Amino acid sequence: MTDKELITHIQSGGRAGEKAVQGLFDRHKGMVAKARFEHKLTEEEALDAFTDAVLALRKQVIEGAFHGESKVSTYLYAIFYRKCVDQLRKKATYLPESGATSPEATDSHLQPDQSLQVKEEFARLMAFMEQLGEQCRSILMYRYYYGYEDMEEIARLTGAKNANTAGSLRYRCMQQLMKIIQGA
Amino acid sequence: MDNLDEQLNDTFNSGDITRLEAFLSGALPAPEIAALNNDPDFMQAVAAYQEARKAIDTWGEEDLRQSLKNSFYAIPEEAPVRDLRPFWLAAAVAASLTLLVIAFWPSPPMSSEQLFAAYYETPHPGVASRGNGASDSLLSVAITAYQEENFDVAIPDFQALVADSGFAQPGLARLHLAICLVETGKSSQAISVLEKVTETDAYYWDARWYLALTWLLQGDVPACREVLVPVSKESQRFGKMATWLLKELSRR
Repeated sequence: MTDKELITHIQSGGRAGEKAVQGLFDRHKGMVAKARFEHKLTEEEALDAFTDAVLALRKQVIEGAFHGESKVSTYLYAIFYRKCVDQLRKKATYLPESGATSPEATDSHLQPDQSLQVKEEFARLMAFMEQLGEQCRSILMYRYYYGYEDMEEIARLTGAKNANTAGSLRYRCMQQLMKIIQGA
Repeated sequence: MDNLDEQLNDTFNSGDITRLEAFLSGALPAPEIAALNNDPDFMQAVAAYQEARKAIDTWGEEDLRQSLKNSFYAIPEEAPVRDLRPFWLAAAVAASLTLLVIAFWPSPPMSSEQLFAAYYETPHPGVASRGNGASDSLLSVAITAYQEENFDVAIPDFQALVADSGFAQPGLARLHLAICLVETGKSSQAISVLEKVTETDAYYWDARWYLALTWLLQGDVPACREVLVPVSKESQRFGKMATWLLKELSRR
């Protein structure tokens, strides 16, 4: 798949989009081994960084922030590198403070990043979704996050009776989610 | 709620959501949009819808993240049973070679801008220092503006603190003044501010790290390297990142 095809498929969403993202992940997953070797990250840290990078690239393609001006592999590597530095920064932020009396050790007067705030926001949003039933969550996720347009396909993926039911459920589930949010 | 099919009735009206989505995509006629903008109930529903989309995206992203990570660990399907010893031997050799090639294959070089973007993070001020009363309140004002990313507003206040010889923590003021300057595109001025943070100051290594990054932003790699070397050896907080950055710069 060429870079242009990859971008087009990701933008179009649905099954083609899912396949394109998985293909992108598979094609470049060697970066995980590379980060372990080059940056001495654990496999879990390197995989987290790489997965985050693929998700960030997907988002940028969908939002139109990346149109393929540079090669996808180069662009992905730049994001991945940044995510690896974030992993390193996380480790540096939580250094033990045993030697905190010497000037060398006290160069961390700056508070850790706002990761706590991000985690709280994540938990809050996930909690809204958890109040929905599984079928509702799936219908909304396939329609809005994965970008499936074909309600028949959504019905097949989520166990709804048919396309009409899936279509109605989509609205009903969205209304229910909005009510949960308004009541929070 | 797992079997919603049965709970649906035929008269369910999906018009509200359709209208909301049309409003947000700008598909409604201009007069209708203007009218809806003045309808508080509708705007409340818009806010709830937008929050709902954020929740769905968060859930979906987590689903995709798990699916990708699972695929990384997935064991490939087994081939049909027959004498596969020669095949496995060849496969093992090929896999080892592939791993070696991946590990030693040079990564694409990163530009100074990309490296700056990877390493730079706006620092968040910690506990406010204790100086004289006037300096304390000025610091509080400056830090509030800084935290709200009103860097232009914070600059004169930090400058006043730097100029105040009675202020207890000049390093803190200099560091944050420099960050404000970087954030507002005045990196040359930031360099001269950061260079004045003395070695005995508690913010010295923070200042050196950001000085190196500011040189990088300016495209002056030798100056960046010169500052980075001691940071890599002596700073606990920035040492590892400085080592990585030096390694990356040495590949150019």
